[in-house]
Amino acid sequence: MEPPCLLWGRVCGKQHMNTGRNNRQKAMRKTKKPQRKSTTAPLCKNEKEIDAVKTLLEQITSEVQDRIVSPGTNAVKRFTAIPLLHKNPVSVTCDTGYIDFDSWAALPAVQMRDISPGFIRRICLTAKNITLEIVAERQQSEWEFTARVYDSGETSQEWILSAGGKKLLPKSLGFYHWTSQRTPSRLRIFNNDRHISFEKLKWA
Amino acid sequence: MNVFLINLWDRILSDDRAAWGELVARYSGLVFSTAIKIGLSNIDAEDCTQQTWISLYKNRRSIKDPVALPAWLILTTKRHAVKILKKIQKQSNSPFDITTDSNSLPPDEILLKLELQDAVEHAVEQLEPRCRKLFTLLFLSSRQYSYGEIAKILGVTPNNLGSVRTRCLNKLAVILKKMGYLEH
Repeated sequence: MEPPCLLWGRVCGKQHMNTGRNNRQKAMRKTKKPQRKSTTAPLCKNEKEIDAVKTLLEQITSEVQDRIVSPGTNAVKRFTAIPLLHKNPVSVTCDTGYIDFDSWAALPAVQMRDISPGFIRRICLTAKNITLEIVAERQQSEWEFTARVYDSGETSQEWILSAGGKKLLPKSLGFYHWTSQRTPSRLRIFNNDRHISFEKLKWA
Repeated sequence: MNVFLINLWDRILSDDRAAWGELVARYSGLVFSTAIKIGLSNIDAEDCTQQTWISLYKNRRSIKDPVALPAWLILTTKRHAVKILKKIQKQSNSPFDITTDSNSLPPDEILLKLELQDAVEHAVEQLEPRCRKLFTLLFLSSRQYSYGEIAKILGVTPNNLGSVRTRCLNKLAVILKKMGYLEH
């Protein structure tokens, strides 16, 4: 019967002759970890990922000096309302607002020089805690409007203003600004939760 | 592959308003910072950001790849910002001509790095408080902290800080992978 070590050929035969040294080498081979790292091993892959994350973090620290700055919360609310410009709101509550102040209805305390009373109108409309302020100025061939919505005295920028067939989103600081050849008789404001229709305005 | 963005975009296309709100909350900082970086004031940058969001909403059906949305937002903001700057220039009769001075605008590379920074900061925000604090102190703070100081703030021994850092980097890698900023 052939000895099993012959299966490994000549080298194995040599090892067979030096059994003591061979056993020692075998034992060392068993305890010693391989030096070469395999790139496909999960551990090394993980190290690579960590290196990539570190590089990303270092890159953003060293190359982009300014941090990401957020616009104010009011502005973000305004941007959130953009879909309402194109789709009708599914508002939860509906309210009616009334005229609180109208400069055309009130007598001016002091007569303003150079400005005819019919050329400028200030209106204040309210519905509970919400107030809509409008200033209308008649230009040569059209009207120029500026408006703002307040919620309990603070500027509120999340409302869409519907005036004379136009749907408007406020710009920075919450101002609505538009021009038109016609004056709006019906004004509405709405957001995702609430819908307010104001009483009819007479411009004659 | 940014799964978060793909899912969010699907919801937006099916007219989910809450999804639109999430997208706006997530990327308004990036858009606003781009406008500031181009040279607009805070007020003009807000208006520019609004214009960009309106453009996105109007063109939402034509966007084929939602993963490229951050880059789309940056480039659209840049376009709107240049228009606003030209308008300001026209109103003030300033001799500076933005059309000829291309050096005044940050190159696209910087704007895209802004996108990367935004993504990494967002990923860090999703980590547990200890990791978040660690990365903020290590990489995102304007002040340089020593390892000893960081260990003290986090309540660990300086010897343990290395292993905490590795664990946190692992978690961050998982999040960045999901967002598509790290290869699988």
